[in-house]
Amino acid sequence: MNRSQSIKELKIRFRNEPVNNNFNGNEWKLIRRIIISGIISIILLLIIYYTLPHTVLTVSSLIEYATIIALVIFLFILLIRYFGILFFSYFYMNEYTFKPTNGYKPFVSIIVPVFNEAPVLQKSISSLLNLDYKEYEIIIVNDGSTDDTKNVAEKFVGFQKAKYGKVKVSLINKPNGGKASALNLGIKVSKAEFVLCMDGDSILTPLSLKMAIRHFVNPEVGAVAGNVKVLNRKKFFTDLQALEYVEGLNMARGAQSAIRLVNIIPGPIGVFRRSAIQSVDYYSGDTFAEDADMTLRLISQGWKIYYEPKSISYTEAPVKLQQLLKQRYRWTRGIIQSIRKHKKLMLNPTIKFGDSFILWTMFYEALLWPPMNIAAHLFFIFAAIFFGFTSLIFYWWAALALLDIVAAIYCIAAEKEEFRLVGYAIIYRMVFILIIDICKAMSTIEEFLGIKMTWGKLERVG
Amino acid sequence: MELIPILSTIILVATISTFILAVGAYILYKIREGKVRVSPERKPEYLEAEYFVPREKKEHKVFIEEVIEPKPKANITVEGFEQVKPVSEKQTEFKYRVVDDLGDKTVVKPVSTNPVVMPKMKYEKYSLPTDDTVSKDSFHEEIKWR
Repeated sequence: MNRSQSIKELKIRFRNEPVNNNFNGNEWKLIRRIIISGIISIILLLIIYYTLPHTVLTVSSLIEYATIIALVIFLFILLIRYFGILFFSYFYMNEYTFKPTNGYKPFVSIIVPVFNEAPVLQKSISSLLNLDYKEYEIIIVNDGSTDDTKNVAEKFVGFQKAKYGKVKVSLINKPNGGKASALNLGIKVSKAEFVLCMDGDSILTPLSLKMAIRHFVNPEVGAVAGNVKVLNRKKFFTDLQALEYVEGLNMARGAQSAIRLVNIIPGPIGVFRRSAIQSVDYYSGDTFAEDADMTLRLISQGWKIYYEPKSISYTEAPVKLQQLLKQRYRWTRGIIQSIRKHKKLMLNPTIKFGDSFILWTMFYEALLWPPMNIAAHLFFIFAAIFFGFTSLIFYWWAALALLDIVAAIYCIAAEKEEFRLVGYAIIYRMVFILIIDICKAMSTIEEFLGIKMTWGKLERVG
Repeated sequence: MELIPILSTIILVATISTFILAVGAYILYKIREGKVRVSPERKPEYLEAEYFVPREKKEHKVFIEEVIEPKPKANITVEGFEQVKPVSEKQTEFKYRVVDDLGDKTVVKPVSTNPVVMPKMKYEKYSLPTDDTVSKDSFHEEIKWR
């Protein structure tokens, strides 16, 4: 049959959504605030310095006591956070690991937003055609790619052979407008009650959709977050990220799911109820973390969000340090923008306690933890160089490494991941997390200073 | 020499190196980003997109004109109002018509070329209906339209 006869070409007219960001207008106001708070801090320090001789403490003893107390608090928070996450995620995983699927299989639209993903799109769509699910369609949204993505995507348009018959694959070619705009257009074109949003480079495992959709039998569930894993391994930074995804991100998501409040539905895989997306007026383009923003708005509307460990999506992680920093810079600023958008809910827990709780945890992870971690490391360097306490840094490292190794073994066993990743736990906190935290702290300062930023794009290797 | 001081020194050097690396890489990243920054351009309120969608099943329907062959003489005997001999299944021949084109897989349904024969059934005697539209008005004995 002639291809032009089998494919229909339509024109869609849609509203051009605003893309980032509304937080850059008051640079001078922010700088003024920082200067004033800095001056107040200096005045306070001077007061302490000049009044201290009138007390029983000396300056050196004050610094010593303050440092010890700060380190104890730091370790306490670290341990509470670790064991809290492991405890809750264990209960959640136990709840669903052995539970069979409930047979709930409604029609689902899979939205694949792509921007310069030509080398990886073939693999991505092939994985979608291999899903263990009957009723679904694929909508590829090409967000103004400048490479060969359009031609690669056009080859898939039609009824493609899948595991249980033919699957309809459509393509939308739109001018570049960002991921949120591409996802929104795809969702609006689709007619399904459930949509799976993913990245153009993500590869889904056959059970991904089937396992995620089972949670929607509960009408209160608005979205299900999937389990993201690193695809391109066997490289230094990608292996460290593989460990981070398992130990740092997925376990935390499992723990959050135990209280039905997952704070970020990851971009590489998230399944949504259409009515939930409509209730929050679709994805918003005014932050650099559209997934975090969408999740917070869903929670604020009272929707429950689950995490499904068996709904796996493999994604390409940054290989080079520069790419990694670019990605984390965007994540951090995007999360801070999302928190600022919902600060009213954060400051007033009586409106919605769950929302407030999740916002505070995000605030802690994005804003408080990185400076604390950097300060702790700086203290040990300072103590070793200026006071000769070199062994202190060893004990500090040994304690953290032991904690990370234990956590890594548990997480890797629970997720049936590669055991060789445990080895990376030795340098995980002292090297990888330190780099990430420095980037986070810098990004936070830039966000509060209102320095303009752009999306940036990870180069795909395929 | 003891092990702990050696390890401590290694960790100290590694931590300082990581600090320098992280800050250096961040500054380098910012310099690179600064070079590629473009001025924001005003975008139109509405945009247009192309939507390529495969034609739905209903639109793919292709019908081949049915060939109606002359009816073979039905082997029936008329006796009052009874029909006695149904056509046997063996005599039924099928011609095919395409009802739906699904790409590679074409769905076809058989069409019988034989005349449709009613199953054997009992007929009731036909009687003309009484003319209800016109009747006598018993009271006035006049013909009226109802």
